[in-house]
Amino acid sequence: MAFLGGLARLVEYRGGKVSFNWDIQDSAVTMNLAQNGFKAAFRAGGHPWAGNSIPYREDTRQDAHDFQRYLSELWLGRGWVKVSARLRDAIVGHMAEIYLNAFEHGQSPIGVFTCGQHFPRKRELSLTIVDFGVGIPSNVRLFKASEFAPEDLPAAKCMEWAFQRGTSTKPGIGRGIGLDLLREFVRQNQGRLEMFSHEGYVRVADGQVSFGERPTFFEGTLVNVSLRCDESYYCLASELSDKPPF
Amino acid sequence: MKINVQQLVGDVCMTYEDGQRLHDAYRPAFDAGETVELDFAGTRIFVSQFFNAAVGQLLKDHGIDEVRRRLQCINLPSAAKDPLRRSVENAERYYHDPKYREALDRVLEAQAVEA
Repeated sequence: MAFLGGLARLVEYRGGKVSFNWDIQDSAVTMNLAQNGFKAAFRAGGHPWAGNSIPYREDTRQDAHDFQRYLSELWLGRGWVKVSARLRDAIVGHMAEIYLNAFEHGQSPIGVFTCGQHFPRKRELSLTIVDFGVGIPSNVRLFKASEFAPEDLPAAKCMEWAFQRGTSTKPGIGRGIGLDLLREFVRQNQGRLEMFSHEGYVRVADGQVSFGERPTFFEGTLVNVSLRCDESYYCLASELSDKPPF
Repeated sequence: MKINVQQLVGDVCMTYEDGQRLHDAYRPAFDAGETVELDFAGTRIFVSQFFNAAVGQLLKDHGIDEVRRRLQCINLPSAAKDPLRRSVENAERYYHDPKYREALDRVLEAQAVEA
């Protein structure tokens, strides 16, 4: 939903028109689109309700504090995944970082789109954050321009480089993607973390990190986190080092 | 000098703007040679952008050893350690590795044109 909504806004931003034919959809899909607020966002009526949806949202401007509340209360705060308050705050910090990065230097002209879903039968909780900025491979190729020609840095290689600790694809004082704790939590939870940008992707699943390329090109960055809703209780422990931060 | 971070910016330390507010509050004292204590008691959510402004930019004018010695972060929640460490590592490299800075500035310039 986040990707579809963003795509529609991108078409509109570029002067096109988008309309959805709501009538031909499966009734369960229609209900879900009403529940998560997607229909309301596209002026197709309906009043969203809580249910199993994490509401569809469009952030054309950065509102970090509101986004943090959204993550804390509407995504991780509903008891579907049993995490301690400290771990929840740490995961929210990671996701907020992804959100804030999308706004840095006006890279995504239409903002950031977010949506999620709880699947009770699959026992899964997912959240997707997508922006339509320049994408990770563009930044990596610029950063490495003095060492490599663009053709020598395929998208998968760029994703791999950006995912390494201590690397930075962003200007200013810089950053790495820095999802160490989130990756570790996903591994323990046996969940899934996926990031797509251009043709490249990185996937953390089944305790493995894999990089690759897909036949489709997407100029922007999409992050999807799927967590397993099991009976385990997760808290911060050894995943964070005790050594001084600097 | 001691600053209560929660009182100044609240329990959420996420944005560059909030980090800048903290930086502005202690920077004159730090530049005057004082030891600065940042008390993070009561804070809970952290993003590296906050620390880039609050701490990272100190590395432009001060060495890492001096920052370690005179900027003390107390009651720092464990969730803050990773973004703070990453921010300081990146800042040190940015300000003291010309090749790294040149590469990052190249990205910055390109993005400024696109924006």
